[in-house]
Amino acid sequence: MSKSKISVKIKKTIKNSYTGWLFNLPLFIGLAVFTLVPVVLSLYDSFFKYDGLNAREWVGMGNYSRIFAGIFNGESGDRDMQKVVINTLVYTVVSIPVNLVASYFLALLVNNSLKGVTAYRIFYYLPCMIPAVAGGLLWADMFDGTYGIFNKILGFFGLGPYQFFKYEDMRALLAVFIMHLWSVGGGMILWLSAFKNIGKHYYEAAKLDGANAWHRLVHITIPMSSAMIFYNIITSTIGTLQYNGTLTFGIRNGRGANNALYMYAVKIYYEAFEKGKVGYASALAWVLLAVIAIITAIMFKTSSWVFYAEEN
Amino acid sequence: MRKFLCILLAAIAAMTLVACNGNKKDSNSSNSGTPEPTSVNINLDKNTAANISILIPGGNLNERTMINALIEDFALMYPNVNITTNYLTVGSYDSDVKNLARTGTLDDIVWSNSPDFYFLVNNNLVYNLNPYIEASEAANVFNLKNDFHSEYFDMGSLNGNLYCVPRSADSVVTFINTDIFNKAGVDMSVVKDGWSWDTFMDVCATIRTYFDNNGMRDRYVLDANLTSWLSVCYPMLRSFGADVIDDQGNIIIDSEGTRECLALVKEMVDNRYIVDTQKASGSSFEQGTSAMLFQSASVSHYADRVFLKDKVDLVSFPLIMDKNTPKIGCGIAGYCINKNTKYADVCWAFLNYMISYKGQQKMALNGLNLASIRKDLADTSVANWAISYPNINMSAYLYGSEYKIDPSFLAKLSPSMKTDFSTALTDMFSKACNGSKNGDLDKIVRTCVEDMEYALDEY
Repeated sequence: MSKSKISVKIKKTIKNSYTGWLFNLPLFIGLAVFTLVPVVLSLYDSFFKYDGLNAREWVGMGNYSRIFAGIFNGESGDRDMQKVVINTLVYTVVSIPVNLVASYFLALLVNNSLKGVTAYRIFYYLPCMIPAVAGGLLWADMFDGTYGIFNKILGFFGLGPYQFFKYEDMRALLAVFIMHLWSVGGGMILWLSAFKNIGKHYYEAAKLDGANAWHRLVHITIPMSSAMIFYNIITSTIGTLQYNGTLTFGIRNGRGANNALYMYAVKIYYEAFEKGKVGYASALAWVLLAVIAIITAIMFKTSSWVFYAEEN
Repeated sequence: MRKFLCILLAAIAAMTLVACNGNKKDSNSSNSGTPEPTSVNINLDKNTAANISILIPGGNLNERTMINALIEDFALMYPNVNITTNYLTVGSYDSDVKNLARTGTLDDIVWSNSPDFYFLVNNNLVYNLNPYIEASEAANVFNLKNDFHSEYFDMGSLNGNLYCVPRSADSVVTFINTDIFNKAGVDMSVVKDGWSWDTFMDVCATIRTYFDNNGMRDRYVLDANLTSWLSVCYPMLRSFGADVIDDQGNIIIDSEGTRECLALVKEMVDNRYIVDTQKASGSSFEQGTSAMLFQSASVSHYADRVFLKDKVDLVSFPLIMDKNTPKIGCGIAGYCINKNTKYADVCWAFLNYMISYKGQQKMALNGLNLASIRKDLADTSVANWAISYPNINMSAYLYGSEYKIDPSFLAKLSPSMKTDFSTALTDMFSKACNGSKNGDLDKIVRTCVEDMEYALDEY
């Protein structure tokens, strides 16, 4: 194709679509400036020793090797990494199923036409409308070892007082799991929308065939909402691996006593903003991105169990 | 279309990298030597025109109010100087200042405190103010040693150069709940400035007995602030002759003095004077259920609380005399001058007003209830910072200037090590306060040394 033909084609394309491009321009500029540039910059920084202010010092793969050496051989690399990875994995592995199941059953509870059920739905969803930082501070107050309302209540039954977030061991994470049950209303809404899309005729047919409530749940509701289950698992996994909520309520800059609450995203924050190791924190962020990408890809590859109604 | 997007992304990436290189050059040039103002003029013309800004902690209402009061006065003296304020978050001090410095928008005058100003100095962001001090002394504006509690200026100095002008004298004192003291039958004649640690422990024992005999076993005698605050734990360590690092940068915390200090902490936990870190406490000073508190905050923060109304008094931090080297924790909050300001002389004029008699009195009327750095405001019956609390022993803040120290060991460390060293030290005290771990003090000290060595060797 000659140059003039290409030029004409480009001009024609621009002429036909410039309005669309103009409408997209503000978004594109915003994305480029506030997302793309920082993303590229963080990749660049990850190969340097850099404090965010002074000159960069080239370290090649040094930041990355320190991370992996820390994970696989705690003493030779970043010795906090093993604890950080274990905490993050435990939190992910426990929190996702617990929250999915809890929100699923909550949705089942309010998926009926009883009088006032809408009020319950709103009531359960309300905690999700509280900003995460405010919620974190609220829970820090409620779980406080001295003034906390939980200890006051437990005190009536002769129990406690407990330290909750301030424990040095897994009990601190347990407190975080309990705290997160507070926001299962968000998942409930998604499940409800999935349930509403299941045709009533399936249930009617099942009833005619003598299926009881359990059978209808196992053979209709769960399979028919598998797309939403899959969506929730993917988004929960991504969100949970990036969890940094302990920054608002955990002692020692969100790391907890004896690093009991030290999560991967908190580690990124701590390295970048507390210790000023921007280069190292960037490498940590890119490793996390890679892990999330791999996990997500595996989930998609093994998603043959998901039933998409449109396909049939 | 795909090609176009690829080219665009590549262009963005290339531009980003070019931008990075530019930054590198700038940063190198900013890192050469300790900056000093090229010329010093302490007799500012009344008609000087300038626009300057001050960076202050936004979350601190008192700080905002007192600085605004000074700005109002300053505007009367220099009507053509326009001063604005901007805010930072104390919790993210380094990163806030770093971002402002990177973008060339760091304010002319920058709030700081005794540990945080090391960050400004390490990164050559602020002026060495010695030329202004020397010029002021030469012109008889003031004499640093005679007119001020000069130890607080030392805390704003590094290697003999003053970088941070203190706006107040922050010292750790013992807040006491007089109601609990009286009910416990404490002999108040021994509770006075300069009391010893032994006397303090006797008082703790008396109050412990009172709590136990009156169904308050879940209460603790003291909120010690030992496990998260260097201003308490570091002076205690130093009182036993121990320290963290020496002048050559060697870690020297593994010492007999450290063990003696931790043994003292353990004794306090064992006797239930302070709470075991792995147990929840049923009491706090703020709620009126704990008898004492180690704190440097303004007395108004506690004295006006519902649970503590008319029950608060002050006494100096108890002196640990075991080695005859007692220490009291203290620090400063103050202001530095950005080395890139166009109006260094104007900034100095403002700071000079801040530390003047009139300026200190004005600040005290507008939220500053901490002790003044001026010796002529040490009389608590006339100084505004103390006058609102005639029944409280405000002189406790000023007691024992010869014993006062701040966590100066941080000055020997690079900014990235500062956090890990502070954490290692507070963790050591935290473990000494943990009933299930404090049986083996050697192990606790060894772990602290390992943490510090790791921080030193850190990549």
